[in-house]
Amino acid sequence: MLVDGFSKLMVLHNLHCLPANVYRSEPKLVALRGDEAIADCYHIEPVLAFTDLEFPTPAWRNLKNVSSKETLKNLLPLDQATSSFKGKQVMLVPL
Amino acid sequence: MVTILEAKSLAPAILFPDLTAKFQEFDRSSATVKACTILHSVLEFLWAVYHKKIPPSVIGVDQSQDAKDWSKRIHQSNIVPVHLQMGPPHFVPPPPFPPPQDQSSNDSRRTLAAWLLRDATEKQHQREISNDEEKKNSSNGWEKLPEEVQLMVICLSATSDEHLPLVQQILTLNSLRLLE
Repeated sequence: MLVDGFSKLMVLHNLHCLPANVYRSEPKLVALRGDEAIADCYHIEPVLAFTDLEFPTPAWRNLKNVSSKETLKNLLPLDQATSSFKGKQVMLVPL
Repeated sequence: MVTILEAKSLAPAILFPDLTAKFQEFDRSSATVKACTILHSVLEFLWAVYHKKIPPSVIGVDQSQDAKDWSKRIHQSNIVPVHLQMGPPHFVPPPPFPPPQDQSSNDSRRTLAAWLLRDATEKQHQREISNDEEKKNSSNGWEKLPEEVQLMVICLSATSDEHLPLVQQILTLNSLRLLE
């Protein structure tokens, strides 16, 4: 999962790194988008996509009890947050 | 992952409650492994997307040849049924002197040439079959004609009197048949 240029959540699958060779000077990160018979191929700029991110988040017990949009909107980290997100701009979701 | 793929919308506000419901269901069913151990970062990420804390990634549709080849391979190995992956029935040799053009153009030309060659071979085969059938039908048609009509056609199409003995012979045979 990642955020596209329109700030929309996007889900890509079959993430793959095409290695460098005589025709390709640098490795290329590619993935597919779409759940139909034909999927679009996207390339991902790797340096920005895998930049480290870290910021405070609400506690897990509060996150997992979100049941509506309003709850999500009002859910903010505590002043002395003990939980934090440590990850990248691209989130790999386990199957 | 299935919940995400089956979601009606990828808007975090819609996706988030669906995921939390699934996680709670998972926690109730599993006594040892809990959702928070492996999936807490997914909810945190979605929360961050909703609150615009995740910067956009630089992505774009890739139409380069290597990306097309890769996606074609993935497509063939995962989506295209096996019976459709069989190659052409006849060996098609590559052109002896490929023109100096880019790879995509060469590939499309080869594909087109292979298709044209196969199509021409099939049409030639169908034409031979239909010709044989026509020949067969035409001989049967002549034999179906009455002898008198055949005789008349022979006499009318004759350029000399060479068929006259034959005509007389047939007339004699016919008269004998009538007598019987």
